[in-house]
Amino acid sequence: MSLRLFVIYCALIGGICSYLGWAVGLSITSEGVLRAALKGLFAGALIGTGLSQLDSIWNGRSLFFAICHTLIAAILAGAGGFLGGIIGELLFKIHNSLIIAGWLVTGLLIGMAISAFELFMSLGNPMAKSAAVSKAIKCMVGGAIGGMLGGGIFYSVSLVWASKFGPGIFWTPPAIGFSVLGICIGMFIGLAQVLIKEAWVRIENGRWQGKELILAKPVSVIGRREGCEIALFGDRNLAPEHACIRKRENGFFLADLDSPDGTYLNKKRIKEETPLATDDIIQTGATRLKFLEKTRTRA
Amino acid sequence: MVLTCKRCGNTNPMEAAFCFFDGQLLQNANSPALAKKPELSIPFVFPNGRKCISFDELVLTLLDEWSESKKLLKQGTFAQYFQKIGRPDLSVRSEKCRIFPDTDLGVDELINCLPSSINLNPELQVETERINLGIIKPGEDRDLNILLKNNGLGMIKGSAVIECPDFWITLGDGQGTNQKSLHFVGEYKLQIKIQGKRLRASDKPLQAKITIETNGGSRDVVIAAEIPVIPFTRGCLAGAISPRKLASLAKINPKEAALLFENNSVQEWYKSNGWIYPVPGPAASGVAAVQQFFEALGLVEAPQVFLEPRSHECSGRPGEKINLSFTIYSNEKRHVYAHATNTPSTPWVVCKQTDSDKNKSTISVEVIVPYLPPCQVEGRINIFSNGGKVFRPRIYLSVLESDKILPPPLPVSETTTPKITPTIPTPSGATSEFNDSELPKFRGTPALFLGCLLMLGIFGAVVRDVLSFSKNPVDESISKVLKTEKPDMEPLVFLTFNEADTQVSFGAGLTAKPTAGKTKVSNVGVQEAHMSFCIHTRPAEKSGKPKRLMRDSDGFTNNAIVRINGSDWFFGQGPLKFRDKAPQEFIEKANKNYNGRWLTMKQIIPESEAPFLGKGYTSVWQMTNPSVEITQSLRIIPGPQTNKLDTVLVRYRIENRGNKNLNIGFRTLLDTFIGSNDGVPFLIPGESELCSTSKVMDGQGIPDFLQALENNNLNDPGTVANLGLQNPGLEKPSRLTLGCWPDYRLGNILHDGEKCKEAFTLWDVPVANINTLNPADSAVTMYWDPTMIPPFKTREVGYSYGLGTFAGSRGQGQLALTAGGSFQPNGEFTLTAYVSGHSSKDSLELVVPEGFKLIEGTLNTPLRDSQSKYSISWKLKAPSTEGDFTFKIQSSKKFKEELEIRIRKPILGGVFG
Repeated sequence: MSLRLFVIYCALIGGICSYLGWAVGLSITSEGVLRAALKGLFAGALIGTGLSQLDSIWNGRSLFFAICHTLIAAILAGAGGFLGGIIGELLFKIHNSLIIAGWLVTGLLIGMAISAFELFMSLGNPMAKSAAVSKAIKCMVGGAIGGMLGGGIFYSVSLVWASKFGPGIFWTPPAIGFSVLGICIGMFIGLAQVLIKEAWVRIENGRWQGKELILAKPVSVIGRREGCEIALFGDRNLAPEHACIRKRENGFFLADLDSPDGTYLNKKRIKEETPLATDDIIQTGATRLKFLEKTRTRA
Repeated sequence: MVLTCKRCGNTNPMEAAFCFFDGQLLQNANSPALAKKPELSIPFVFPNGRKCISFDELVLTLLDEWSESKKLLKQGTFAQYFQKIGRPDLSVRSEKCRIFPDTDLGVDELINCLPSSINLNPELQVETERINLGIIKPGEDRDLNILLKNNGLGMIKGSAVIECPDFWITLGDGQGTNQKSLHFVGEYKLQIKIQGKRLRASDKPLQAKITIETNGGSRDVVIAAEIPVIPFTRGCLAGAISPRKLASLAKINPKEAALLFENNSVQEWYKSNGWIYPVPGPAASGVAAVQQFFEALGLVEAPQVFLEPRSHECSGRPGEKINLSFTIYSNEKRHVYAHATNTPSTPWVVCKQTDSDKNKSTISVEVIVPYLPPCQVEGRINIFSNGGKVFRPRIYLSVLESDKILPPPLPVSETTTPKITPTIPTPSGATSEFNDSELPKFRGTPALFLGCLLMLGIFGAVVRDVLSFSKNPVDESISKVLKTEKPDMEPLVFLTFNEADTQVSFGAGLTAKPTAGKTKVSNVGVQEAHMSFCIHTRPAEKSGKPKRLMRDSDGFTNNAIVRINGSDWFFGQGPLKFRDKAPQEFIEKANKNYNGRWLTMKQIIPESEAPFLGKGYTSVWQMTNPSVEITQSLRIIPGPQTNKLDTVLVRYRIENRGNKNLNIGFRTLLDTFIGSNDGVPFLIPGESELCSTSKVMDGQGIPDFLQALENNNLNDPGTVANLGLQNPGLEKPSRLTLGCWPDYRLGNILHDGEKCKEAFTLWDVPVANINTLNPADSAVTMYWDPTMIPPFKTREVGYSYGLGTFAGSRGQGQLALTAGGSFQPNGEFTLTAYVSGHSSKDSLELVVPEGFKLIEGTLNTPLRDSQSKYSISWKLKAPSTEGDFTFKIQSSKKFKEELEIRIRKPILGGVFG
């Protein structure tokens, strides 16, 4: 999956999960603040679940990690949605015109809650922390914009529908509103990951051709083992942990992890840790990877 | 006699076992140190004849004879030997050392595991700790060796790490590395490579540090070099020693400098200094090339550029060539440059030259129609322009039928892979250049699926809404439910205002009345327009006459008072203007409670359909000292049950505009009137009798609504007026009185009658029975008691007044039904039956539709003897679902009546709908 496609997937998954959250919320019989809070909870929990699942699949995480990530993201995002729903409903009760502010707060809290997991995981790791903070900011921006757009659309469509059909409780305005909310949160979370990347690899051949993986961690292991940062399942010539790309202060380095078939950089077998430059071709097993790096300004 | 060390050549005493200087074993078999320790039962003899009789001796010999030891280890000799001398433990360890991937490390490990008393203490020595390479050129590779020595015993193990910002030196050969592990016993040459392609010219010397950290100590080696900048030597830019200097020279003479950019001299200069040329792609032509360079350096802001056209459509037969062009332009007077490349998916497009002309650049493109059966193909090219802007216009090509049999090969591009969309079939019977197996797979299919799923979901919601809310002639039940949802936008009520000056006369006690133009009356004053209002019903037929719901057609007999910190002020009434002859004292006394002016009067709010609202009027009353602003808004709205524009929502928004907290209360007096009846009795929900006397209610005792009938006949009640006291967003009155309008004549009847000053009555309106005077004159007074309002905070109070719901046609004048309250799901409302002509022997049965909960009242209510009509009320809670529900009452005398109640959710049922 290319990075652009990843952003599209994030947006779509966010939109669908948010829509499903709204659809589940239709079954709520309670009224007022509790009703709004539960709707926010469902939407938040499902957005958190969907986006964390996508993140786990895209990064080839282990099943255990994926389950933990999903659970925590769902709980946190659900809590964010719950709180957002309460605040939103209270704002709405103060005055109907504050409805968009209510949506905005809800989106903001869901976005913030989703990124809280990454922030927590980055504690004690300054390199990961800056990326997590950047991601958190983008998540919140996405949530806020999504909330504002979603709320605006919800309100506008409600009025248009009311003018067409008369007063009533419609499905279309919240369905579109929630979808837009989820799309924006998902899109900004996807963009956050893509924009903060320093380097990434693109798979040039084989089953995963075209897939791009961000090198976000200090060490990204290439292998066919589940849990490798660059997991290339299906390549039989690849060792479970074949090679790794290390991120150092002065650049990225490729090292072979005593693989039986060795690791090649630009068709030369490497024996020791070797610096990588953009457009370098890494051959591990039968798979070719192109290393790509953001242009760095030299002093 | 002395012993000479074979290793270092120093002399030692005869009894010495090891060299004092380097620890080397001395060939002294008589040494007491060794004689005491014959630890090896069988001596180990190396191939060169050297014999070891103790572990210490074996360790020293292993170190001395390193390469021989490696061979013996690899052959497994040590393992066999230790087995032979009865040391299977050492044999096993030797075997483990044998299979080490690096034999050096294997021997070292073997030495470490032998039970020797020799103290291994390697010591690192570096040949030189600073290397100055002098002046070197970018692109020039060099190799260096740094000699490392071990001056101690044992193996040196550690690593060498390079610290340099641009990575211009590496360890090892080829691309090299920045880190290398080391292990050696005697000497080691550390190979260094100067990476010429990473050298950048600079006015500062380059410096790199190699840190060697081992178990024998740490050493730093510094490598320095100088790469002086080669100045630019050509034309007007000669002498430039930095890009910025070059830019400043180019700015002075841009036309001449442009030639140097165009012919790549500047690019070559960059290359000769090892710098990365900042301009991507080919150089622009003319002065645009200078601008291109300036933009790349970030010295100027790129102009905003546009592409025209955004796509091309063309068609042709295979092999045919079609010329197209794209224009990049800017509205700013700046040079525009551009160059184009085709994309891998568009091998049939050849990007040609670019013609630049000031703020416009034209790119020529040649399309070579590929040999394909008739089909549509789509491709893109990349156009790079100012400020790194990239356009990707599409080219749609229709391949027409070809008369050729064998197609010539497609144009070959080094950087492109032929690619078309998989849906296009390859030509049958001919060899295609396109290989299906190499076609890139479309990875976005699941995304497309997810997108469709989401759209389907939203579509489902739309379908549900359309089916549920639009008129469906097939389904009569839906039609019935919805037939009155959308109100008739023709209002059934209209408003008139007091918007002209009124001449008033003052009688005893400063009671005032309009003079109706009789100017001879004494104490005549003029009151300016005070925006009081009257609600009228619009007649159903053209010939019919409108009916007033208030006494005066301009609402003069209504009044409103604002109480601020205990002082009362007339709302909407400015100071009276008197004739000159009026005594000043009188004038001051008469104008005591006037403070304010109208900022805006009767601003029209147009009708709206989202939500459905009728016309509205807004007026703003400004008071000074204390500074308070009151906005009176009147809006015609649909009645909750009738769903017709038959009700007026009266709203007062009171804002404290001062800088101190103010205690502000509001009181309004309505002189109720229906048609020609000024003394109409009121229906109070929950009260058994119609109120024709007086009533004071406060707090929870105030009902949600009051109702008044024009006629006393239940079969024909005439106009039914409904006063709504519970309205969304508005405070409910804190006190309400029903009684006689404060006519000045009550002054002699009531103990507090002096307060009755008709339209000029202040806050307190004395309560007297409606029929105290003849004819009866009823009025409703609503109080919103003073509350603290901080600066710039507001308070909104108000009520609704209009036509009410009433069902009496079936009850034959004996029964009627009406309702008021909240008609939302789970809302509470009051159902009231009017009863007439029944006796105490009779009873009344209420039939409640399923889902409703009876909160107050009984389903079977005994009736009583009464000469006049009276009421019975039930308080009910609506179900949680929407719908139309019919309530029926039936008396034991078989009189029946029924009323349809609409339960509807509001448009916005909450923040999320």
